[in-house]
Amino acid sequence: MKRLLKLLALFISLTLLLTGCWDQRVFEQIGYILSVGIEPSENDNLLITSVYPVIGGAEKGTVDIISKEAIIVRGARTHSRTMAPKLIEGGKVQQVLISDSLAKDGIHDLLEIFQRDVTLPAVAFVVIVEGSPQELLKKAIEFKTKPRVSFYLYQLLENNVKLSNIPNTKVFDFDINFFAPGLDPIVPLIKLENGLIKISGSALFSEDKMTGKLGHQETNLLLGMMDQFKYADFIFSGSDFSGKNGEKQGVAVTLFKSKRKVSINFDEEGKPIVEIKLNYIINLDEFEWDDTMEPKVQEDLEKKFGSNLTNMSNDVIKKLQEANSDPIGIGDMIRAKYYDYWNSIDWKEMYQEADIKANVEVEIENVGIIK
Amino acid sequence: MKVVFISPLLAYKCRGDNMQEIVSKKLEDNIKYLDEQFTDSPDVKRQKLLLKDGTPALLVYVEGLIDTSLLQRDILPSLMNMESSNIFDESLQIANLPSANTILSDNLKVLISYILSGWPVICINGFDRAIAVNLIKYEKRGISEATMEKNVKGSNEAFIESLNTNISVLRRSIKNERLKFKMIVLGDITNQSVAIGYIEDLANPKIVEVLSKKIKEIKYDGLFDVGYIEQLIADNQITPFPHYMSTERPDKTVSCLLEGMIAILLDGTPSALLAPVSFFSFFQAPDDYNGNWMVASLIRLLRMFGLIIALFLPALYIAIVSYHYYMIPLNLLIPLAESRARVPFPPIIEVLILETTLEMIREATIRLPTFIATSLGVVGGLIIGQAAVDAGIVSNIIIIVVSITAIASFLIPNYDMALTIRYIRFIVMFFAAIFGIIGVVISGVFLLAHLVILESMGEPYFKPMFPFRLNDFKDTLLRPSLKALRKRPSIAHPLDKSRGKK
Repeated sequence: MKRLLKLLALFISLTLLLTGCWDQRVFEQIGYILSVGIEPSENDNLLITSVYPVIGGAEKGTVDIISKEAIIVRGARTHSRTMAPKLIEGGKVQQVLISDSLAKDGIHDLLEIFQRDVTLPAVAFVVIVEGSPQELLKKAIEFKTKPRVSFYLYQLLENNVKLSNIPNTKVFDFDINFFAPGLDPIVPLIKLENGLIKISGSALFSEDKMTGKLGHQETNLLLGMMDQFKYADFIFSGSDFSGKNGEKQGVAVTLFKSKRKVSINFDEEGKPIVEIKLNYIINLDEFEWDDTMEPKVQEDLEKKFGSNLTNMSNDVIKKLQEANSDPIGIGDMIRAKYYDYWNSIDWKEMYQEADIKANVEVEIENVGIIK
Repeated sequence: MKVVFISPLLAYKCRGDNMQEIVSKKLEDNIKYLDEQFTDSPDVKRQKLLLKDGTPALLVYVEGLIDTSLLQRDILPSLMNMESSNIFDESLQIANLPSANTILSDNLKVLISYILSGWPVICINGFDRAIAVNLIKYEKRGISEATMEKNVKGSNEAFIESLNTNISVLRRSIKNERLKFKMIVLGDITNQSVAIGYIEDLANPKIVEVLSKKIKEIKYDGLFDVGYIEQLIADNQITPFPHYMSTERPDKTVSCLLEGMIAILLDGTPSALLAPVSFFSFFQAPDDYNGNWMVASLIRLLRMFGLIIALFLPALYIAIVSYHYYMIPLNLLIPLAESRARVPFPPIIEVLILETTLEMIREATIRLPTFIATSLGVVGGLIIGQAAVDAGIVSNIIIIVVSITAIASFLIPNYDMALTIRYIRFIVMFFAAIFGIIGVVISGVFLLAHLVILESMGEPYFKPMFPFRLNDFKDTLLRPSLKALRKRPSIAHPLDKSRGKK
């Protein structure tokens, strides 16, 4: 018994001592890639740009940027390791920036590595860049007044997700929406404009190919129809809202809380007729001195807002159908409720012909504290 | 009042020895025997005297253990004014001396142990019995404030070294005849008394029985603290955890006695040993029960949080920094990495440097006089810490980690448990350095498994959690109101389960 115990103790201590710390990765010795930019290179390969922060360098708050041509995404890390002073690791990737020119040919295989390698975060943002990600990142590291580019991008994206200006699409969201039949992903869209990074809305995908884009106000409405709406600042313009004095050309409101109800019917030919009923609650933020406290004026405004939002939402749906992108998941709903029908059709073709209409109603809850 | 009794504990002790030396009727024989026993004992005084009728007698006592003035004033005059026949009443077995406590014995071994405990013994020529008179008085410390277990509210008394005083303190708190003390003599050479205190009809007699049996079986030359008893009767020898709780607070002892637990008091130690206890009772302080229950619950939770921090924080730091950089939020990662960029050591060495320094400071301050200890704390804490960062030996963040850990470990109310937690922390740290976060998890699992198999007096150590007892569990992580604590905890299997009659 004693002998056995001694052997056991020896075995355990040897296991502990001999294995050592071979897989130890102390964090200051690692260059963690924060942003990855992927775009097509001149030779039809991938040009991959990675950004990692400089730690322990002479200047604080700087990043290193390495661009390298590779045939697959992992190639970027392999090549970067031959150039960087630190061990390059991808465990902290915050954004995957993909150029729109590449996205048009499909991006799903590019994201595969984020699911396969457990150390790579599946919670990185997928972002489509209008133009070249390399150019955007190189420009962004010159910003003196802003935090490191990846932080800057992260904060920019997070804030706009909160405002429903862009969809909250992480790598895993993209994959889920891609794999679900009858559901397409949408992805935030950014661009470099006048030397600044600007959120321009969302990129529409048909399966994994980018087929269209929406502005950020349109994205607000799309997220409303997708039932992922939190709240948004919204500005109505046009003759309906010019007001009595005609000084102001629009109305600023905050949309919050939407209720969605989708009803699906079919006509004689089997074409789906879809009605998306939406109910927004609105705060009136800026208009003009008037009688907005009066119920009648409010009702009038509610109607105007409603019809405006209905028109805009229908425009968004039209764009979606043109792009053959179904982020609302109407196909998914049909598949869930009418499975036989779903099997009998090709949804991608049927979607473009389907009669999809939005119907928005608005309720003014708060008009502010002026009378 | 003249009570004759032969102390059962001493009789027990002497029964073990086969030599039964009987008091002889000839005084000369007794003198010869005692002289043999007390050679080279300058403090044992032997005084011959003559009674009124001329009978020679012998007075034996230990100087310094007895009240000499009382002996001089009361015992000696009356002794010398009596006829030898008046001193004893053979039929009634009464010794006729003006003392509150006398005994008669014919066993010289017994009488010697009385002499050594501070009872003067009187042998009279022509009688085969000797009288021992209780005149115990020796120098002792007064009851002072508790130093290890401080309290904000409630009593501030602490036990002292004298067993009699400690028993009287308990008796003063529990004015009930059912408070009993079983007396046992321990220490093959030192002959110390041990009192096993319990409340009859409340403490489980089986546990009292088992405990006294275990204590009787102790064979050791001398015991200098209840910690000796604790180690010698422990169920499981291979564990860092304390099996029984030692406390210097009478109020805590009383509250445990009221829960049906047993208190062991040892002559010469200013603390009591409480059994059986569970792991969680080491994280309860008397103050928890003295105030509002909501506030006390918050403090309990804080203490448990402190326990987890004290055990795992340095290990988590090592694991995350060495292996799992991607677990750190990005906003924290870069400042952390920058603060470590100058440090040439791997994280485990970095933590060990600071932890051992801290442990050394802690160990040093215990034994130093208070005025030096204070300045040592300043030197250790501030100067070494800051200088080590400036020199690039350790990073800023590790100073924070180690200090928070130290503060958290001070939250543990029991000193023994705090030591254990310090010890386990190092083990967890090594596991973390080798296996990363998996090592932390593995050591946590080992720790839990170990706690679950431990026993205190045959009772599960991890009790209200496993096996789960809802009624007891209420009073572990939180402290419910006293009205919700109508039932006594089940760890000691009290005979009467409910506290107070409704």
